[in-house]
Amino acid sequence: MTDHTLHLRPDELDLLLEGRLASDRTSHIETCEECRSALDELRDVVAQLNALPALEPPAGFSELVMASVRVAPLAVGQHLTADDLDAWLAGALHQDGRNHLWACTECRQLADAERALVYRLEQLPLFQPGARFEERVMAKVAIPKSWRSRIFASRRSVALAAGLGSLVVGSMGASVAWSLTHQDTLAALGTWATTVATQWTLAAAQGVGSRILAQPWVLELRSAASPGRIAALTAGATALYTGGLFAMRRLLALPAPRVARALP
Amino acid sequence: MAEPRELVTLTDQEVVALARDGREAAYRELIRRYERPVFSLVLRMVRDRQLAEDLSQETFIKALNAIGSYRPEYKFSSWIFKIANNAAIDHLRRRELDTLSLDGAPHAATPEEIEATALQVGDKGETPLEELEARELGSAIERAIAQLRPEYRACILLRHVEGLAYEEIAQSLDLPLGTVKTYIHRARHELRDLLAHLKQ
Repeated sequence: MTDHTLHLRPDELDLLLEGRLASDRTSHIETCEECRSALDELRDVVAQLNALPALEPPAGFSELVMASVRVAPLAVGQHLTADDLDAWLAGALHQDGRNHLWACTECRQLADAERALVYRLEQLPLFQPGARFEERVMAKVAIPKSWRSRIFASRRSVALAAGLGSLVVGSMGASVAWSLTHQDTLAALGTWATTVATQWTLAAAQGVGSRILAQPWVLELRSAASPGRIAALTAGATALYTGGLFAMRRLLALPAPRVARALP
Repeated sequence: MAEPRELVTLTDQEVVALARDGREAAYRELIRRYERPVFSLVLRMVRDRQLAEDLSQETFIKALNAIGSYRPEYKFSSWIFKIANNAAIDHLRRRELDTLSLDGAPHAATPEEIEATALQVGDKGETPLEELEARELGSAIERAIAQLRPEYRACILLRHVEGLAYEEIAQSLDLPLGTVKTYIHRARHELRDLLAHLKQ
């Protein structure tokens, strides 16, 4: 007796025909006459279908279809933007934009109108100002003279420049030569100058210090100063300085960037 | 030293450097390079040949006398167009000469106002200079350009007649890049509308 629960289902028959049925189910066909018959029948149907000739569509079929298909109108937001049109005019429109332009009559008309307008604008001529324009401008332009042109302006200026140059170069050369031959003198002069400068600086500092100490307000300050007052003054000055530092830091801090937030 | 013939091959920046060095030929080269673009821009802005010559002359005199203050990191063309545009816009603001177009004032609302403010080509008493202007600026597109706001006009002329990039226009007109784009798009839109009758 045949066990009907083991019969191949239609989808399994399909898989068997395609050679993709699992092997544990394939073995069933060898023992089941009913399934073998169903498989033969299916194989015949498939063979007959495959033998059907391919039919050509009637002439003009694709045109007929395209004429009936209307390009879906795109939402306003999807139309090409002015920037897109600029890119198109420059030959740099992205692929999506080109696809849209091909499909959308409205955008194509706009783009064509833009191209025609830009072409007309680009064909506009440049005008020539009246005769002697250049001369009229140059008559009112003050051309700065470079040092080179000033030097070579006349024989006198050349002679003057040459004399000045010789003087500068000659004096520099003489200085260098004298320094090289009188190094001891230079060293002695340097020591003397340092000593004198130090003495003068010390004398000036002493003079200023004694003058300040002789001032009446210094004497008053001295008499008024006590260890407690000095400590309070120091503390106050330190607090003021610290507060100033914090204030400066706040003033110099960069403002935090404002972040745009989406509305709820 | 570069000869005048060699100057033609130099870039604007190189010619400016020579001008700053006191080379008269370099000054003349800069004038030759920009006299037509500057004059054309100003003429289309003010639509008066004599006035455009004066303003162009003023532009070059101002630019060349201040060549020492020119910053080489900017294009010379942007700099000179900036001076030219400022001269034209200042004049238009001062005299409101933008109302003098062949088609009448752009602000004219009624046909009577338009007719009253229009310059008629071939009017009796028209001088040869006026006839020349009428010929030069009388085409439909020139008249349409004349009806644009001066700011739009400057932008569209610099972009599509002088061939400047958006960034250069922004630099020349001291406007943000976005504003320049908006002005040019609106100007093109208005021009399309103004020229639409030609298609019909």
